[in-house]
Amino acid sequence: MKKLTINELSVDLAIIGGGVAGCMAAIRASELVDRVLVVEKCDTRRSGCAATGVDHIWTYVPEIHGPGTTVEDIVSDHTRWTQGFLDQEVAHYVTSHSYDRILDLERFGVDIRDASGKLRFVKKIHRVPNFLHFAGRDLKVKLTQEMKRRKVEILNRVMGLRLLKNQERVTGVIGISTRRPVIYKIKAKAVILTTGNIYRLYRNPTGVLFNIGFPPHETGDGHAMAFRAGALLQNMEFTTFQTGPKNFQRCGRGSYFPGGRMVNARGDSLQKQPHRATHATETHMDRTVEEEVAFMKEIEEGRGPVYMDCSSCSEEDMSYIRWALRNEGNTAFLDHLDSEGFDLRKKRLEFTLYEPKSGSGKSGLTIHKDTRTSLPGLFAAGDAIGVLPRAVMPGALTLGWKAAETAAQFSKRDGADVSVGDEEEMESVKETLTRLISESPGAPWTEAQAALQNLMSDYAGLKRSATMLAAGRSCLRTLRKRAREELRARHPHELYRCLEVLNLIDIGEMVLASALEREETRFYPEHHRVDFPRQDDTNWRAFLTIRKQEDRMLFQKEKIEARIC
Amino acid sequence: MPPVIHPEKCLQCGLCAEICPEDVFLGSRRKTVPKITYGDECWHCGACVLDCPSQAITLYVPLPMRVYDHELSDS
Repeated sequence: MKKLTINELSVDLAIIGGGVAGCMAAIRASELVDRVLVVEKCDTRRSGCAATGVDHIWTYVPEIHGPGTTVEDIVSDHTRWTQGFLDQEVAHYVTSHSYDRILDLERFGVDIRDASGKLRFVKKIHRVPNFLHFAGRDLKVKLTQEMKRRKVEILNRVMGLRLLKNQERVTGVIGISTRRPVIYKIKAKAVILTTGNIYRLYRNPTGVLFNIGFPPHETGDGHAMAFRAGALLQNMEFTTFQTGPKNFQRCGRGSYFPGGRMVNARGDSLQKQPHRATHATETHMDRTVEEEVAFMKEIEEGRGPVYMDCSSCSEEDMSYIRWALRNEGNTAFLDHLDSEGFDLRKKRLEFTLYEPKSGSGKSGLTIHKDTRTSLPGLFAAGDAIGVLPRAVMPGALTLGWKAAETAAQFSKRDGADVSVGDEEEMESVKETLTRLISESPGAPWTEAQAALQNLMSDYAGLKRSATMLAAGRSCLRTLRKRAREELRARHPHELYRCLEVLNLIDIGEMVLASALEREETRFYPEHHRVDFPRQDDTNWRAFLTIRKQEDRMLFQKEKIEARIC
Repeated sequence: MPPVIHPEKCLQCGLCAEICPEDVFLGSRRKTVPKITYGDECWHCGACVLDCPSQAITLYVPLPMRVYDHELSDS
């Protein structure tokens, strides 16, 4: 590989990650500061969780849900659903602002209504039907068009790597091109992290490298760089499980409802209530941890496999399911089923429990209600935050918007002294990259990823214990040392894959160490300590924050005050 | 090698190479038929299939991803 060159930029606001939260932040920021830069690892038109579509956003619409149901009612439902493991002020902000942002999407050209001009709602985890179903297949294309219209600068194919700091204050970011041997040193008066979830930490059972239900490019780059810079994160021990089609892994189970139902090998339904409904009326799909438990029980008690059964769907239902799946990013999967001659109304589709994932608002950066992180100059939104489980689309839309407002204010008020660079960090980056691209023999990134995924699945999977987690940490230290010494990249593409795996190794250590710390079982099976099989509300109804200090991890319990009504 | 480009239909516009989230077509040049450089890193998201203006791309789905129970009695 050619020698690395350095490209320096200076902006008012740098947004790392051009998913839905990053795009919304950029759009709002374009109204508030002059130079807004989005740093995106892929291409903003088809990246992140909404890459090829998203079909649902939960919200609260006063003229539809009120006055019988209030914002507080939705927050209360969300609080119960998360056992209080959320920031209620953030939940309140997201609930009360998501409809405004949905109307913004409509202004940007997204089709949010049915043919008669009405909004389609289904009921899921809240007391009223408030999950808007919409045509989101090209959402990211539309958001990119809007950013371009507003002259937001988009730096595609650049991975955010390290935060630049002056004392504790974040003053920019170092990025690396995924296509050319170029390092970007970006000075910014404020930085927003919107890098999404953490996938590829656990082994996918099919053995096909990127056959995972979620975007493989979301590797927790923001979590890793924030942690290295000393920012506070929380609840990293919590992973989440989801079920979906076996073999061709694809998220979006909710799109099979209404009409579809989960059944065991005998044809018995797993759900307490049937899903018979049309999209125009209320349906019920309580997507909670209990559903995953029910799924596992069927297999363990000899009634597996579990299937998605759409046999009782009407033609109207089926056409609606196909419409929803296409908008949920499942076009490729649907086309594949069609080419296989697999008719969902005639054959049951086997489902499976996917490997764990991290993030989803349940584990990640600790933020204040205005999106400030614990480091001055650094803000975060979207799935990278850890204060609102299932923040998903409404979280990305509203907190991305809010992050722009808070960061713009900071950029204007406190943005004068970013000229002081962080040469030490730059030197450390150069040293890491130089080693990775050296021509001496070494291991490809795929080997380090396989080792990490085996390790995480074996030691921090469905059954955790102090001894297994400690053994996992010890193995991880070996892996980190070997990966740092032996990983080699022949091309910038391989180089960024190596950097992703090094990030995942750091996150793996956070997960193992945090899981060791939390001596209880919570959200079974998501944090199942076989040596502490009970939920311990006396000692552990608390967020577990984690922060790096020199080479140590510092943990702190933050007692949860939220009342569950 | 998951994406399959049908050269007789390809307009050589390069859009697939621009938008592929995993950069499977890296190194492709405009005004040539894109090449598959990192086929193993395909996510099977179908962005290239969706956005191709001339429907010149189909997805190859690897064998472990298409083993269905076709003998399962019709439900």
